[in-house]
Amino acid sequence: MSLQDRQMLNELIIESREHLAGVEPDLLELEQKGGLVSDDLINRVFRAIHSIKGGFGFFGIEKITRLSHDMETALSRVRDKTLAVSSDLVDALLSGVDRLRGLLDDVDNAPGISIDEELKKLWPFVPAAVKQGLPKEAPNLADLDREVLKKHPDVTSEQIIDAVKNGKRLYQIQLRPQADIEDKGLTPIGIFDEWEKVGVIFDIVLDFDAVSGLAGSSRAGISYSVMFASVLEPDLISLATGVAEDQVHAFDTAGIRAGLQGKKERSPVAQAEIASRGEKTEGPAGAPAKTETHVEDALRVKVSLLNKLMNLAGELVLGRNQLLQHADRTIGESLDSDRLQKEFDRQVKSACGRVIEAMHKDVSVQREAMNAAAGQLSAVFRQSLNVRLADLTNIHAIMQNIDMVTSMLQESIMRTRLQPISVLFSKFPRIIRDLAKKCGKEVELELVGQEVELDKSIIELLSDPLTHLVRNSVDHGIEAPAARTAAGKDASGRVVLRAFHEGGKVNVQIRDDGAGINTSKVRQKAVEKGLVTAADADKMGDIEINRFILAAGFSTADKVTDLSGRGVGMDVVKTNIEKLGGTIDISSVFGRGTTITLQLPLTLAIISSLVVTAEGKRFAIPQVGIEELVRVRAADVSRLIERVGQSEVYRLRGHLLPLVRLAGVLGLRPTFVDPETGERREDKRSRWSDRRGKATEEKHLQEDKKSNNDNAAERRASGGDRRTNLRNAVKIVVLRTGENLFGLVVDEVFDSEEIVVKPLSSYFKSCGCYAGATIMGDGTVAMILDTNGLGRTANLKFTELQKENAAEHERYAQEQSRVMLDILLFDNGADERLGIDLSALSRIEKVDAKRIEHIGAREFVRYEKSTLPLIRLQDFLPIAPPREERKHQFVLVPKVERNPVGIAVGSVHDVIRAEKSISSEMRGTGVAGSMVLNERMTLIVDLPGLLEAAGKRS
Amino acid sequence: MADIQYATFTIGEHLFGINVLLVREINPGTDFTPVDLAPEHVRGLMNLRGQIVTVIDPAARLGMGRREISARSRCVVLKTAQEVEEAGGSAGLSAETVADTVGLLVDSIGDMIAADTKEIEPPPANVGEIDGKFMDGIVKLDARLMLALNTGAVLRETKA
Repeated sequence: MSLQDRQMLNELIIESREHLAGVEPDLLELEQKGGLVSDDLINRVFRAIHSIKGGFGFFGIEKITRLSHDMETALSRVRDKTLAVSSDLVDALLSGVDRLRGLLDDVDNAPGISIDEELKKLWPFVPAAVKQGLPKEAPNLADLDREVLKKHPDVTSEQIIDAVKNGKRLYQIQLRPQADIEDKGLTPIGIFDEWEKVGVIFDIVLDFDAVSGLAGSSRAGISYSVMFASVLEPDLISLATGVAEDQVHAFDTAGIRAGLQGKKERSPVAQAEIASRGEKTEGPAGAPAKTETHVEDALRVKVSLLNKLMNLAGELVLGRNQLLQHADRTIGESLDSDRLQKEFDRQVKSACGRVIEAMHKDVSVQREAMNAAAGQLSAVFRQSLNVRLADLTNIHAIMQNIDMVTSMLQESIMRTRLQPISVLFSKFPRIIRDLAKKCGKEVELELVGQEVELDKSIIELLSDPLTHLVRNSVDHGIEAPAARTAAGKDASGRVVLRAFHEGGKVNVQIRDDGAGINTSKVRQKAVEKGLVTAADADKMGDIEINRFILAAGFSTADKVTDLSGRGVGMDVVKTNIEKLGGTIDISSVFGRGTTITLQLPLTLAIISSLVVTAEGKRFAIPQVGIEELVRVRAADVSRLIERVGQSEVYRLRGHLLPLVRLAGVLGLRPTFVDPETGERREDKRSRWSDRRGKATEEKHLQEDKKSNNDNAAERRASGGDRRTNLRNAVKIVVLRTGENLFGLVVDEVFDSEEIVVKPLSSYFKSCGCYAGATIMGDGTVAMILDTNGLGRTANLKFTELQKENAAEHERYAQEQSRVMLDILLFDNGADERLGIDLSALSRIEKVDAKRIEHIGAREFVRYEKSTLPLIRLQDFLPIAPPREERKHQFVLVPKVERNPVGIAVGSVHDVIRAEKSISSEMRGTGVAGSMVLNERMTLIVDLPGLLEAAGKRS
Repeated sequence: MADIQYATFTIGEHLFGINVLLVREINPGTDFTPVDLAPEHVRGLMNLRGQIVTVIDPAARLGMGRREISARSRCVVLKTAQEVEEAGGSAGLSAETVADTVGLLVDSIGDMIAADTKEIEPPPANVGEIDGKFMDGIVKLDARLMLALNTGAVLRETKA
């Protein structure tokens, strides 16, 4: 197969896949409506299958042609209303579609793939006559033309289509050697040369039919049949070729041309490729196909080209930023350029005036004047260099324009990678149908938000997890019709697949109205499997408990079906979703249904990451792997960081967190900035805990004191000590790898940044701790750290720590059993003391009062990219409003799954640990009671109650 | 009979040449980010108009040690194997480069030299400290030798 043919075949395969993708939903609709559908729909399916048949017939791939032919026949009978739509028919057609897909995937081995099964299914719907053999596929030609064309088996459809496309007409010319050549004193070569001047000769064959048809077999009877294409009209052709008119057969090419035009209207971009492939439009009078939802007017572009465009756009943004910065400065400098311009004109005029004045004087005066004028002009010229900057004010407008265009360009290019999620959703009607049939259930599927777009690579990776979730919904979620009716539900269940944007992310929701998750059963299983202690499990909320279904090997199914229930799936779903940088949220009401929400980033190419440094080098850590950030004050380092075996650990709420120093992992020499010289020097100290070990605690305590004294002395001398000053607080990024947490010690933590992930060159794969590289805002390259890779370095320590950790757990659990609470003490800007359970808060923000916006009676605060509704405590609690407006407002942000809010408070005082002994005297809306803390009566806020009250209010 | 156009450069005392069809561009960019834990001959990553280029130090591979960066240092950015193929290069030529975009760090850039294939002699076992396997051949010029660098051997092999 020639390269060109191969390319054409590949194009055809891609196009055929698209056809099939369109066919499936149509077939399902056909079944659903029992054939009561518009002719358009049937025609659409018919045309799609027909195009596939035609296309592959051209390449002689018989299996595809054969199968699609039978499908087409069945469909044409449906169209002609001679065959009723039945479930069996749709089954047969769908399995045909599946097999065609299989054949398309492996066209080269098509002859080896069996289609017998599918054909057998189709037989009941195909009249016997059609089952035998296939008519040879050829372009839209009248029967007579077809017959004529049979004489020229070597003429390809492509040649014909090509000729027609170029405005040529087709002729078959009967050429008699005797009468048309010799008798006229011509030679065959000469005559054909003449013909080639007005057209193209495709083929010349000896015409046996004509020979046998003529009386006798003399030389005079021999005849050649010539396939000839020319722009000449039929009435001119006999003149031009010199043969009699009755020897010329003109093909009717109107059909082919109509076919080409039909295509043209459908998709101008694709027209050329379609035409050259010899595909054609079928349908009544070559009417343009109805294509509302099926054929997208689109170009195929190589992903590598898009990536390149994306790189360039990124670079353009960088260049623009530098230019903007530069231009802004220069423009600032030349603000008073107007004045300079006037001065320039005045000086030039005065210099000219001086020269003119001197014209009438004698030579020496003239010379002097010239000199002076020259000096004046040169001075003015020097000034004018500055004046020219006046142009920059115009440039400013241009810059703004470029600025905007660049941003739009970058965004558009980014969007080229996005595909509508319908690409993914569209396969579910079929899956649900088959599943429901198999399980003997009735299931309706609703697809919402098909237009929501996601990165191509995410869509590809999302396919399996989503299929699994949908399968779960049907197999486990939706009950059998009888059970549903008994529970007072509709006999047929509903599964809703919904995609929507929220907070810069894409949410994909799978909701069913099935049996829901049996939380108590999950709880029981979780305890059985030792995933959680019974005591802990009792304390956990339903949402937390339900998350156990995501654990590896977890299944509550009593029996394993061949569809699901092995307990492997959800774990894989979770891993896959997390790999995409997404999260899973499960909410379920037992007996009422389950909703699983996947939250996904728009694109994989851009991720949110935290920029950190180690030994002056910048690294990016993907936010996905980050659990929290911990900052240990320099003064607390020796107390909170200790050594267990070979590893340093940090106590994080009852968990021994193994610490890994980023610099250490990367083999960087520890250095410190010498406070006196500002140089980086090697640090000889290898661990903080060197100063303190459990066994020799006392001795070290003394040493600590001593070193503290030393430090104080040093501080006085040098104005700061590297060990105890603020910058030497230890910053720990808590990372998750699998089920384990570890702390990565870094030098500095910078902002969170959106970075473009560039794939890692193979040279660094062996390093094991990089996930990719990125280009920072200033154009330099920074490495993206691989959390799991770093974790592997720390892995040894997990096992080492296990025993220690168990003891720590015990200790912590004991402490917990006394129900100790960490209480955040704050006030509302008035006299009352308030307290809130710190563990219920996700963070505390200090915001500029200017960032608070008022909309109607409600208040919002801008936070990162979203807005947070703000609630004021005095609106809900029996307390006084703040005495005065403050410039800065503290905002408490509670940990909530949905609808986050901020609670405005006056000032934050302290966090104290106290035993939970709340007096219920003050209990009321949003108030759990009161406690005496730090010798003052403190109202304890009941967060769930407060949020509920606030929710009702809005 | 065909001439091969060599882009030449120096590393230490030696003059090297590589087929110019392999070269995408020559860049003063010695401004790269070092990557820790990388093999010795992998110097770091450079931002080339939004594309990340891995900077390779051939000298380190040839046993001459990492090069010092000077004002004359240059980075010879090679085409990827795919780019070479797309430009109609032979399979042999595309084997001289790799799938990633890499740049060779050299001490300085020399002239273009055209050599008839007949003039290219097979490489000796070694030239000074340089192993013969890193050479495709040598070309005798008027004053000195040009070593045709086997970039394939320099770039591949130690890739883990």
